[in-house]
Formats: sequence, structure tokens, C-alpha cells
Amino acid sequence: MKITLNVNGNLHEINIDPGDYLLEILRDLGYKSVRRSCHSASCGTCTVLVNGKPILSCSTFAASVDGQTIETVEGLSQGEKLHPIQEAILEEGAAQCGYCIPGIVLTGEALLRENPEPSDDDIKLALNGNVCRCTGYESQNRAIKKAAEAMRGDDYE
Amino acid sequence: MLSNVKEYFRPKTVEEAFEMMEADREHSIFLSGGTIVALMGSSRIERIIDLKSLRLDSVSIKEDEIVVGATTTVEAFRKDPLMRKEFGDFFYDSFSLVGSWQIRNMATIGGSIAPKLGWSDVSACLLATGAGLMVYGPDGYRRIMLSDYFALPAGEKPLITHIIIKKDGWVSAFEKFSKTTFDIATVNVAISVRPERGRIKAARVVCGSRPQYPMRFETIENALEELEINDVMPSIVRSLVFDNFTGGSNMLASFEYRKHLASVMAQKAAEKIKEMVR
Amino acid sequence: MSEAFETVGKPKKKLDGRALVRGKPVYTPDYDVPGALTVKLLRSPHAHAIIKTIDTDQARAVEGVVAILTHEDLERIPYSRAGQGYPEPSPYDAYLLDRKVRYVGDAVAIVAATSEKAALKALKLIEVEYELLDPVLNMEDSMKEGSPVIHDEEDCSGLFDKSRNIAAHFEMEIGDVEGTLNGCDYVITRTYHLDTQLHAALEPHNAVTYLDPAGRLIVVTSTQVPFHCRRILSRILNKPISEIRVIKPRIGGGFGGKQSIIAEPYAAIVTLKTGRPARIIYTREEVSMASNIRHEMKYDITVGADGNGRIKAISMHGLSNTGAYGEHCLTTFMVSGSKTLPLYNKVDAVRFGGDVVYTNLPPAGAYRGYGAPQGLFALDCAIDELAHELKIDPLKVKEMNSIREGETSPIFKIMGEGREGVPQIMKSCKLQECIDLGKKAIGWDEKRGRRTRRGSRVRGLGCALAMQGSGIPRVDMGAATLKMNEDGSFNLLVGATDIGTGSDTILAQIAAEVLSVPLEKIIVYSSDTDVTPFDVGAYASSTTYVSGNAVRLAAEKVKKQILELAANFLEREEKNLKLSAGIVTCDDGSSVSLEELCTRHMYTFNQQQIAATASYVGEESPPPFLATFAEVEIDTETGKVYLINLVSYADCGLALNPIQAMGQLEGASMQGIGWALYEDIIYSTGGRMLTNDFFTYKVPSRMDYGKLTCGLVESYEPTGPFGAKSIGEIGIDSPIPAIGNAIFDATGIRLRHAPFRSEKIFFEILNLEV
Repeated sequence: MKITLNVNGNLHEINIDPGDYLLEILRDLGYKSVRRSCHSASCGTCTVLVNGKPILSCSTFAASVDGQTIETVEGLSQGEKLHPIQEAILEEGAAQCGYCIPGIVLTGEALLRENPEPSDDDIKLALNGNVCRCTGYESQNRAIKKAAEAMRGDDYE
Repeated sequence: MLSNVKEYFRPKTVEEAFEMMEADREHSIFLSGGTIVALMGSSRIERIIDLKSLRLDSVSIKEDEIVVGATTTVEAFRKDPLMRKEFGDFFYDSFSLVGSWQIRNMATIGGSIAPKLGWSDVSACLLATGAGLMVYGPDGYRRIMLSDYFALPAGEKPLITHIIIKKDGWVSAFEKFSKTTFDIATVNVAISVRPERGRIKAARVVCGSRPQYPMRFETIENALEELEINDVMPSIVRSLVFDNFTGGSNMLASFEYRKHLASVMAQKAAEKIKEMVR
Repeated sequence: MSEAFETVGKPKKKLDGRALVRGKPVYTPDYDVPGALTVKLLRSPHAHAIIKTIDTDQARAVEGVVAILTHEDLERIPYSRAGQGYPEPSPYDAYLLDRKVRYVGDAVAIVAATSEKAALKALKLIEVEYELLDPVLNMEDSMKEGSPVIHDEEDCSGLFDKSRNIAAHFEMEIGDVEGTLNGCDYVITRTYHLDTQLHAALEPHNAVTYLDPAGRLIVVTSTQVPFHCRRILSRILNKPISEIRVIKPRIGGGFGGKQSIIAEPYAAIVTLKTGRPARIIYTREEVSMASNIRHEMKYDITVGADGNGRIKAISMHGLSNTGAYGEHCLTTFMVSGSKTLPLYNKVDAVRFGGDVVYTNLPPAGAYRGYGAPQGLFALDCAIDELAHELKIDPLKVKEMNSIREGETSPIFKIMGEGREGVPQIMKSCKLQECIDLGKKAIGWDEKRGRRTRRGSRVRGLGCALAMQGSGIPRVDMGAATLKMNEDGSFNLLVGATDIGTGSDTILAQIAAEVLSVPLEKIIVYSSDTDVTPFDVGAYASSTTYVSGNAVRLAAEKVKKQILELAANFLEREEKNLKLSAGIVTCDDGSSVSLEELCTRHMYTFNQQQIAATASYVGEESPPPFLATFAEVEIDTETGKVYLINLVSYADCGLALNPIQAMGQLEGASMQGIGWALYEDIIYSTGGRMLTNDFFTYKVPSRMDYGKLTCGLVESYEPTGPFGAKSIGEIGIDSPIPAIGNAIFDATGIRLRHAPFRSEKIFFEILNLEV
């Protein structure tokens, strides 16, 4: 069947199988930041934003988001300039193996759009479904908070 | 991919959706949030009927009832201004640890009820609030109680279109026990009471993840009638739940442990109710 | 100390970080290989069975199926999946496919098809007739007389006693344990039992294989051990090492789970049999059930002390469960003694021994800590129990009996990994500083033993001390090559395997420090068996110490070349030259930049490549040390344990990159917290792992702990690169005993079986109250 996806502002008209998950389709389109880990909606690795909201692409049928707006981490940084969350993650040492990071950046971004001044508890609740096996979470929570501060500041356009 | 899927339908009307299901029940599935369908990964599924196209995703108020479209997401529901105005923090807090934010953005209220999952926090809370359902079946639309939906024979699966919650001044509280914060309930308890002059006029007591699907305990509810809402009330609730709990054992907990947990959760919920009524 | 350095000791951002945060295609599954076949494995539904017949006719007829391989199609070659030094101290008891299956999930057949759909369809159509055998599903039953023999094949080797299902056995005694115990004022004997754990790395095991134009086999794989992978593939595939190239891109987590050769051979054999590229990606269920898990271990421990709390003798006798195959069986068992017992080095006598047995459960393997957490659970908690019997603060007992700088333990010499060890004296040990800082941070003296109640909840504190090592001395070798480019940059080629730990970054920091150039001038490449020099890989806390020293030596060689060439070029005495900030300067003011020097030597003057390779093998294995404190709150009505705060202070020598080192400590601590409280593995009565996905196996999330407070103390290890020791594993050793001790402090309940399940705690509390 034929569907249309708007991914990071790029329009894709594609043929899919009705049983295809969004994750597989995005990867086939070259959005390799979208990765599979658990395949049981239990880790957050495959998070993408659909119409601005974080969802799990491993459990979303591609056909069900026909015509909708999808964001992946490829669309967040412009040229060499990193998104403040990405920058903060590097500064805080919050990426180790990096496999969970695209999901964390996107969920963090969705949170900050909704709530530019999140408390520690807001951050933990919003990202509770983004499992990281490497870091112990502290550095990542700090990074989201730091990015929020940077984004509220004057130096962020 | 779900490898045996051959057809994907986007019905325009409820009637059309139901007919599509009837055409081949064995190989079809209604898709709402999608998390359960993906979790099942069933090779039986050949036809997906996507209910999102029915646009049943709004929350509205009709006289003394709140009408919730079945494909309203759990997150939209808990954050809906109307729900917060009418029910305070009950749904907002109770559903804050349903899965994760991602899951709550996907999972729908109707989709949480329909598969009759034992652990569903959504089902437990709605049962306690005495929610009704608008369903569409072979005989057209009808309104049934949520508890009656759970009692339907396995083969009978009408399509849930709306959830109807009465604005009737009942006070509700919910408690969940789970191993981690991103986990299904080992056991959950929802209690609603209609307070009148400091006494419980009527009550609904629901335990879920028993591990079977959530159930009202009428013996307990009857015993609570006319009970004074005071400091000993929560411990009475606790012992009633302990004595009357029915359920079983699974990987998460033994029956004995579950019974204890249910009674403790019930006490905590009753404490909350006590505070709210005062 | 770190002030003296330009680059090391600084919290540098990870060199690969920009690619990671932008989601660049850096992991094995992101590498598109056109035409790669999908490889799937048919797995056994039975724990113990003989394959009588396999009928693949129907499966072969599925459109898109290219190959189906069974044990009948493969040469029978026994091997060990353990990615260890050679010859491996693990038995050769595995076969790519065998006519016998030994656990639920064991491989039965390989399917290769042009699509995943076709491969999955074919899997379902393979008909296998099994002759069921009685399984051994409990390690206690394994050695019993009459137990089914799991490895009854003739051609396996290196097993201790296959007729009794004993994969490995070890025992040692120093001094007269029985005699010393008889002379002790207090003796306690207890049994501690620690269940297995899943690695749960987010990137599943996967590999893609293809033939290059010359017909060589290229293997791109998510591995911790590229060189061991090449060697083991060479054995299994019967193909010379020269015809195999293993490439490790970025790795999505390992924790030891990718220190065995698991998925690679199945893709490789398909490529060799069909000539076509092949890709295998394990499902989450396969990763859980059919890669490696941790060794479940049980210890009978006896500790004897005098009335003042001086520990005089320790005896540990253990049983370890290696599952169906024996990779890492002997070595993990030995480490559970050798990386714990030297901590309490003031004893007169010590004994350690026991058996590692086969069961029809998923094979155990390497896992962060490598046996040390299992040994420490018994050792630390038993000492804690003894202290309580003596009515002395347990921290005090641990403090006064533990090792300090300038001291040694005879165990270092007697117990190595799979063989004798190496004697060593602690040149750096800041354990006391770790204890002092941690004790203060948790409020030990104020809060311990108070059993503060808040409603139904009661609080308690526990502590645990730990040690690990830094590589395997006289076994682990790492090498590094450094070559100079004409813009003054350097390619650093290392076999060391960054699996997310940040080792590429710290190795570059070492090179930059020696060469006195900015970090940006070092371009790291790891690891590729065709390009980078040998390194054993990422395990045994070896990279910082072993590979780091190799990088230091290579950089020093290059620096020497630079100075020699600069002396020649500037016509000055080498001893008057100084290399700093990318410029060689003579004390008379004449100078040449690295850029100019290298350009000259490449194109016009005395032409040569400035480059060097160096290797390093540790003569010793300086342990990092750790003091951990846990504050817990237990809901007495539900048995649930709430971790309020976990404090861990470590001595890892000089932290070459403090944020990355802290990341290792915090991450390992969280993995230990998960194991202590949430990560239950449950099997069906038939031996099938029921908790084989993340829906049922609960790794901790952000809201599942209160505070995590980690810190590094100032320290300097003279044998390490710029004073560094390792930090990768140690953090996972201590959370279980610390939390267990805290639960005791809060409730008086001593839990000797972990994980600490709330149901178990609840009924213990109920028993107390009754």
C-alpha cells in the first residue's frame, strides 16, 4: 500500500506492506538513528516524534501514521551546530554506548517544548520509559536540565 | 513487521469498522494504540482495522456525563482540562505511571479496556468510577456497564466507541503496586465512594492484576455501606479486602502475597478518600 | 596531580560523541550491505534432547530461502565460545550445530533467505523429531549420582569431570584454615546464593558478513573481542586467519555479553556456503535466552575472628552454574575468590574452592565483575554478620581488616585467571579515603542502627568494600600504532575495543599528553583486525591500564623519533630540544612545527613515515578500590525496598577523564542496583526462560532509585599510564552486599539469597512479627 510520510520536513511517498512497523520504514528510508532494542514497547530506544509527541516506532504501524509529521534525531541539529540537549549530553558525559541517545534527545525535546522549565521529577517522569543500561541516569537528567536552561537563555535562537 | 498482515483498513464509520471485523473475525484485529497488537506479535493477524480514522478522540460533557471517545490516548485523557476539572487529580495521578510517556501517547482508553488485560490500571479505575460503555455490535449501538463488558462471553466482542463517566459526586482513589515504575501492576486497587454526611453511602471496590482482569468485590462494597469515614475506616477496608480477595498466582506474585498487597493498597486508597472527604 | 597535565585528567567530551548524539549510522545494523541474506536460527524448545531427524524439505521450498543448514551439513569442530586469551582456559564443549541440544534456545538449524519474512516462514516449516532426555535444571542436582550427563560426547575436551557434569574445579588453601578457626573466639558459617543476571545491552548481538573482491571473509560485528573473534572463527570455519577480517564499529553496550563469540559464526558460515553477504540480528528473546547470562553462584562461607574483630581465617566453598556450555567457567569462579579475598589480607589462613557445573539452562559467560560480585556478596555479608555478633560497627571490622597501601596478599600469586597469578604489592590504595568520604556522605555514624520509622516504612544503612583488578597480568596484551600526518595530526590505531566506555577518548588523551598536542590532533581508529594492532579486547578492566600503557609507549617512541628528526633538521643537540604545543623548540629559540617537520620528512627531506608500534603486558594488576554505602527504606507492609541513596567512592588511580570514569562507576552501580532489587530471572518448569524480554525483565528506570552519589578519590598508580587504574567493573560488585546489609540494619532480616524480592522480604517480616 502507498503512504506519505513527512520526516524532518522531507516528504516521502512510499510503498509499504500493511504489517510494516514505522521503525523498519524509517530505517529503510535512511533514518538510521531509529533503532530497535527490545521490540516489546519496553525501552524507548526507538522513540520518534509523531505530530510532536514521543511514541515508539517499534510498535506503531507505518500505515497508521500515513500523512503525519515525524521527527527523528537527524532533523534536530542544523549543520555542525548541535541541539542544546545534544551539546549538554556531551558535556555531562551522558552518552556512553549511545544506543539510547536518539530516543532520549527526542523525548527530552518533546518535554522541553511542552514544559521549558521542568523540575527534576518532571524530567524523570517524562523519560522514565527511556531505558539506559550504561549511565546510571544521573548525567542524563542533569543534561536535560542544563539544556532547558540553555534554551531559555538568550543565546538560543 | 507483523508478517502475515495482508490488508490494512481505515474505516470511515463505526458500522463499516464492525462489518470489516465480522467479515473475518479470526484473522482481524482492531487497532487503536497499537502497543498490545505489537506485543502480541501474532501470526494469526492478517487484517488490521485501524480505528483512528473514526476520529473518536474527543472528551466532551453531556449533562451530568463525560463522554470520552474510545481512541482518546491515555495521556490526552489524563491531561484533558475537562477531566481535571471534574475529577481533580484522580485520573491525572492514577494514569501517570501507565507504561511510559511514549506508551501513554499511543495507548487509548478504548484500547486499554478491549483486550481485557488483567493488569490494566485504566480498566481498574474506570470500573471503580462506574463507567459505562457505548458499544456497537450486531444489534447496533447499545450502552452497557464496563463490568458487563468484562462479563461478555469470549466470542462476543462489540466495538467500544465511547466511555461514559458520570459526574455524580463520588470520590475515587487508586493505588498500584509494581516491581519497578515502568512495569505492569503486580496488583492494583481502585475505590470509589459516595459520601453522605460523613458516611459511605455506597462504594465500588476494584482489584486488578489479580492476575485476572479487574473485578468489583460486591461483598466488600455492601459491607462498607453506612460505614463512618473516620480514622479506622481504612483499616476496615483493608481487612475486608484481605478476607474477600480472589485471584491467583503468577510470575509476579503468589496468591498469598497478592492478597496482602491488595489489602494494603486498599487501605492506602481508603486513606486518600478519607482525606478527600474531610 | 592532574594539574601537571595538559590533556589527561580533564573531563574531555567523548571523541565519538558528536556522531552518537546525532544518530549517525555507526552501529553494525546501520551498515547497509546490499543483498545481504537474513539469517535466522531454529532453536530448541527442549532443555535436553537428541535430534533424531530434521526434515527441511518444506522449508527449502519457501520462496526466497537460499540455504538451510543442520548439523549434518557442518564439519563437527569442538570449540569454546569464550573470547579469552589463547589457549583458552575454558573447555571445548560447543559446536556450531550439534545433534544434541542442551538448553531451551540451543541452535538446531540455520536458515538464510532473501527476506526476513521468508526466513521466518521457513523456520516454522522445519520438522524436527526429538528424543527427550531428562534435563538438569538446578545446579544443586547437577553433580548428584544418576544425574543425566550433559556433555557425553567423545570429542569435547578441557572439562574437569564430564561424567559428573563438572566443567571446572578449583581449590587452594593458604595456612591452616581448620586449625586457625579452632583458635578463633567467634566463627560463623553461612550460605549465600546469588542468582543470574542479564546483560541487557541495548544493541542486540548482531553481525554482517561478506566476501571482499579477493574472496576474504569480512565480518562486521558487535563484539568486545575482535581478535579473539577472528581466531575462533578461523577454528570453526576451518579458514586461515589471514583470510578473515573482523571489523568492530561502535558498539551498543557489552558488559561482557559480547565477550563470547555468539552470533558471528552463523552469518559467516552462510556467507561461506553461499558466497553471499549475510546478516544476523538476534531478537531480544534470543539475546536473553541464547547468548550468555551471568554465573549463578552459591557459597558456603566460614569466617573466624578474635574478640576484637580481627579476622583470622576465611573459608569459601562454592558452586557455580555455567549452564549448558562452559565458556568462562573456571575463570569467573577463580575471580570470585581472587578479586575479593585479597581485600581481607590480614588473615592467618584462607581457603577457596569448589565446582562449576553444567545444567540444561542458558550458558553463562563473562559479565561485568566476572564472578567478583558473587564472591563479594558472601564475603562482605558474612563479615557484616560476624561484626553484628561481635556487636562492633561492621564498617569498623571491614576497615581494620582490609588491605592498605604497601601491603600484599599471598592470594595474588596463587590465584590468577585459570592459572597461577602474579605477586604484587599495593602501590596505590586509597581505600581509607573512599571509606571516609562515603561514610560522611551517607551519614553513617548518625543514621546507622537507628531503624528510623516513617509510617509503615523503616530505614537502614549498609556498607560494602570492594576491589577489582586492572587487566590480567602476564596474559592480556594490548598494542597501539601511532603514525604522523603532515598537518601534525596523528592516527592512533588500537585493537582496544571501545564498547561505549569512552576508551577511544582516554587513549587519545594519553597520546595527546605524551606528544603535547591538542586532543583534536589524535584521530583514533578501533578496532579492525586488518588495520589495528592486536589487543585482547574490552574485558577484565584492562583497557585503561594495559592498552593505555601501550599507547603511552607508542607515543613515547614517536616523540623520540620526532625529537631525533627535529635535531637533525634544526642541526641542534637533541637534549636541548623540547616538544610542546605542537612545536619543537630549542633552548636557543630556533624551532620547527610538527606540521613542517612531518611535511619535510614526507616529501622532501630524509623521507620516512614517522610512526611507531608498542605493546604492553601488565606485570601486575593494580586493583581499584571502592567503598559503597546504601541507605534503604523498607515498607514493612509490602516488603518493597526503596533505595534512598547509594554512595560509592572509588580509587581508580588518576582518572584520565573524570566524567567518563564517573560514568563507568555510576553505570556499574545502577546495574548492581538493578540486580539487587529488580532483575529476577524466572524459568518455566521445563527450563524455558520466562523473563526473556524487557516487558518481564525489569532493568531499573529513572524513577526506581532515590539518589546515586558517586565520587573518585585522588590517587596515583605508579605503574599505570599517568597514574591510572581501571574503573569499568568495580562499581557492580558492591551494591548487592551494601543493600543486603542495609536491609538487615533496617529490619533485622538477613537475606542470603539475592535478588532481594519484595515478596520474600514481606513474608520474612511477617514471620518476625508473628
